[in-house]
Amino acid sequence: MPKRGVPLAILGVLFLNEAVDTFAQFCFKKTALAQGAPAIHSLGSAGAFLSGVFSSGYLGLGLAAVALVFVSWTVVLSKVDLSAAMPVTSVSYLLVALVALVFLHERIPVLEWAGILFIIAGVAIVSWESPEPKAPPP
Amino acid sequence: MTGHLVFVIFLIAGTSVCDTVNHLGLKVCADAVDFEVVGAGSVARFAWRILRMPLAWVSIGFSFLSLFIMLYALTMASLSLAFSLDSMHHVFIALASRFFLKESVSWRRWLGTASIMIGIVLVALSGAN
Repeated sequence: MPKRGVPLAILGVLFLNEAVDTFAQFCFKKTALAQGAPAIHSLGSAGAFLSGVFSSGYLGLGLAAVALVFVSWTVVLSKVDLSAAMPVTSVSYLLVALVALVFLHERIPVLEWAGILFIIAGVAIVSWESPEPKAPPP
Repeated sequence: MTGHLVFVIFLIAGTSVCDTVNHLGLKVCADAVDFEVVGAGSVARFAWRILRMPLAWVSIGFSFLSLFIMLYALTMASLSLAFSLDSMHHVFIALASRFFLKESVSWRRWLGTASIMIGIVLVALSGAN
């Protein structure tokens, strides 16, 4: 069975994972931005949206980042408990907000920051003592 | 603008339901593969065993569906708003674990779930202004 404590090297990999995951979210937002303002109201318009999404180079980059995180997360979970690794993932809510603020120039009101803090605290508390040894990434 | 936000929340609830199905499916697959991952070769063998299960492909299908709904939501909402609201899948997984898998959920988990829900309400309120 994996140990509960998290060695420093694994903690480093976990933080790197969250950074790569944040990059994936950035790529998905870039993919969406390239679509303009599509309205999906039929199968045809859904197909047009899908083909537009697939022609974006950012989608492939984002999917590659997700695949990398998935493999690395699976390996990490064979070394430490989910309850030890999972709270670290809550940092992604801060990273994504910071990337959105700095690189996408999004406006984040104080109320939203307050909400993000509650979410981070909640995700950390929820995952702190998970009875299950294995689960996929969030 | 508020109707717009309600639609975005509806879409993200959809991605969270897909994520929950995906997580439950992969959990069943991972439990079925009793395997110690040591070294790069064993990672490939672990992945191969998972990918041979039809349920793993159902899970992967749901994660793609979740991604495409999220991409559509992102054409209307900011990344910070959409990603924060997406944390509702933690709430759904806690509920599914309790009522669907009949797992026991500790008071500490309910406390964390309540904190996430407060956070989601605050983020949604900030989006409504």
